[in-house]
Amino acid sequence: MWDEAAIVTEGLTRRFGGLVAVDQVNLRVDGGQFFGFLGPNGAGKSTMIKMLTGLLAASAGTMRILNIDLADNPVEVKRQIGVVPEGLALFGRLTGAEYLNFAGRMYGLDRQTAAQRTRELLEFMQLADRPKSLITDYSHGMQKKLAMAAAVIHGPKILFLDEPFEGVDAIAAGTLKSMLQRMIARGATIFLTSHVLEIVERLCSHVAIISRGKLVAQGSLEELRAGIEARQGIGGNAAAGASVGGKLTLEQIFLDIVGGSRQTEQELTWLA
Amino acid sequence: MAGVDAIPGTREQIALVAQLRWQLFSNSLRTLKGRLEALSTVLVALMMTGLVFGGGILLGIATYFLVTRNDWPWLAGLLWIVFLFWQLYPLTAASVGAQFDFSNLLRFPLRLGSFVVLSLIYGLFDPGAVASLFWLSCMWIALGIARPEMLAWGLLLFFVFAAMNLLLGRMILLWTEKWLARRRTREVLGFIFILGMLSFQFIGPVMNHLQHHPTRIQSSWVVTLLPVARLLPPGVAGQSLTNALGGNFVVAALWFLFLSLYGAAFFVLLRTRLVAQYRGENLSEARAVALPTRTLRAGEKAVSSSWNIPWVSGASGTMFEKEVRYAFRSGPMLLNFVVPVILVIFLGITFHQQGRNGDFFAWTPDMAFPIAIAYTFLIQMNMVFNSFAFEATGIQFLLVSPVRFRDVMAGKNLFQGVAALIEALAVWAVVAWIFSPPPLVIVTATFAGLLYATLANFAVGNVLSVCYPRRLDFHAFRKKKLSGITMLIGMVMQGVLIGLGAGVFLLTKHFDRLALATPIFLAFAAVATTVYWFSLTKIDHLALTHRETLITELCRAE
Repeated sequence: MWDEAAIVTEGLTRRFGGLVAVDQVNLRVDGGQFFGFLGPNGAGKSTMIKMLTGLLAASAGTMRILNIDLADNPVEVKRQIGVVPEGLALFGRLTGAEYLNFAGRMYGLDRQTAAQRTRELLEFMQLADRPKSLITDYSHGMQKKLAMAAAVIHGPKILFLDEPFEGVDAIAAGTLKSMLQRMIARGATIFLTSHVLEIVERLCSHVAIISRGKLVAQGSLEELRAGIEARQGIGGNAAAGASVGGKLTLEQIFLDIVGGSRQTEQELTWLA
Repeated sequence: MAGVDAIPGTREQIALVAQLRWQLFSNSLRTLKGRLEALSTVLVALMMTGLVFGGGILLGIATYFLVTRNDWPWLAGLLWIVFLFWQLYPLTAASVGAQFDFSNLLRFPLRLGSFVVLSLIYGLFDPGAVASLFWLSCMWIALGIARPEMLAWGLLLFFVFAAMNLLLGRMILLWTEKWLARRRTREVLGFIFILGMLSFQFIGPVMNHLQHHPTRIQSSWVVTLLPVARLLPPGVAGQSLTNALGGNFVVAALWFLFLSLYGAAFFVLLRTRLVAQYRGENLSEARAVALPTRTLRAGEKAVSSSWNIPWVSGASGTMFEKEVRYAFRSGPMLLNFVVPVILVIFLGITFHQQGRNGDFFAWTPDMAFPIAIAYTFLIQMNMVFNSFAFEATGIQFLLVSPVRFRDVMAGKNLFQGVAALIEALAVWAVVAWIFSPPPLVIVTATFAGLLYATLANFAVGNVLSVCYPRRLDFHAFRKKKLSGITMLIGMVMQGVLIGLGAGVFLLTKHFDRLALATPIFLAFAAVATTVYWFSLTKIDHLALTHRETLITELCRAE
């Protein structure tokens, strides 16, 4: 773990025509944090992670990754980070081993190191029994594991994951979580988006919540919990569901912060 | 259900789909890119319209002469042309613009009848079908001018012939989609399809051969095939027309019935597929669980080190290795390199036979090599204009990895250049075998010309690949899309390059100074190298500004 900030954004904004998808976001993620980035559908999570990884240009604002300005030195930033984007970034006509070798070489590893790490990662991810299968023939879970392996082959200091557990079964999810926990234990920073709040609550030490493009909350789970409890007390609007052991769950915190309209019985009466 | 009186009728549903298509089109015009696409599509369509009109007029004239000169059996030949164009065009031509998968409509309460009708209407608006219908109309008008009393019969016959073609086309497409849903089947069928296409190249040499050896016709296999051809739809339609022209209306009606039976059979087969789709068939590939694990052979390594390519940067070398692996595993890429050489063999044999009879190659046989190179170049360079066509979601990896995009492009260009060189050597061998080894002065000039044209293509192709990328998938022939802008610029570019090359060759040959062609081409190559180098230096910035386009176009789900 290190003291410097791993990710800092200031006034980060992204517009699509008239739509402001990300609006003046000031975010700070410290080194060594397991950081969950949450928000309802269309809130700007994917846009944010795409900008932070260089897949999307920002309309305004700055992004510093490990104190390097992303706009000024994107190649240096990319050298330090690993990314599992939406869609996984795989080359379907390569085998798993060829892809990992390719990824290692593109991240600047020498031939021997790339081959050695490929072997280790295939073993760890339980993908070594299909050495000659093309990626296009892999199951979705296998593809996720392979994408994760490719993202960490160069030992990144920060790992960005866009919905890493979506469509993954419990066994594959277990393997992925095991890898992430190892990385955190060794001082890496992980930034993930997920809709599965239970997983975020279990894994992440810190979260940020974005809603309609604006960052509406940021801090450790305890800080967010304390903030809401101080404002409303348990049993207020936040406690729409049952709390666990008297503590607000992340889902309750999320719903309280993001809100959402309350439907009445008078709406959509024609529905069966 | 509250508020729902009845499911809309077929006509109403067709109108809704037409409105949907119009909205899709008008929405696509909201962006500058969409408007440019539409404009270039119109320009390409105008060029194609000229060909279609020309074809229609030729077919009309041919019909008129065949009818008036009582050469009625040859009318089947014209119907074969229409038939082959109608059926083969959708499989070979890349369609431009936004596509619409009408099977998505199945989520709505669509009747099976409406679904079938929509499928047929969809097929009717295929450019191949529109052109074929126009040609049939031209033939019908010519038939009416030559024999006015045949107008009604011709209309009926051509209508059924068109309907049969429409049903067959849709049937082939839907069955092919089912068969191609699995990757392995797709690859096998892809090769069979290409071999089938190549076999058409035999027609020229065979006809030429028969023309010069008429006595062998009696024993030729062509004679054996002719009765079979008569029993196939265009032959059947031709028989019906021939008998009607001869006044044998009973026999003509029987052949007409036979043609209708073909249509009915195709309809049954088409309906089988549409019913399966209507009932929610899922053609997605059964994933890994269904595939056997390929075990390693003795001595085979599960993980081997990547290639060590001297004098090439790590990223470019890695891209080169990936491109080679992709080429050998991707049917379209592989065929793009193999097919031109095979076509040169066929065409070479054809022209060689013509050359013996005093045609172009008899006058200048030494030009066979540059012409063959120009021909293969035209086909092969297609891929250069859409270099990321097969990357799909992999493009995201290239964008998040710490490499300069110029290294990525250089790796791709290196592969494309090596492929062009290997192909040029293969073409040299073919030309030397069919004609004679081309003179050294021609060989050096041709390679110098190839160098300049390849570098110029790389310079423009890299920019187009980044700015107007299009995802290609081998299995979905009908969904194959090319950017209209890329098509237009590509056509102009190749016209200019080939034109310049031809000009240099013709002028130096005319003035008996062929040796000058090499330095001229090398001078062109020097300019092209500068332009290429300049374009490479700008490609990082271009990729950065067009990264959203790259991701949107290449990562979209098919």
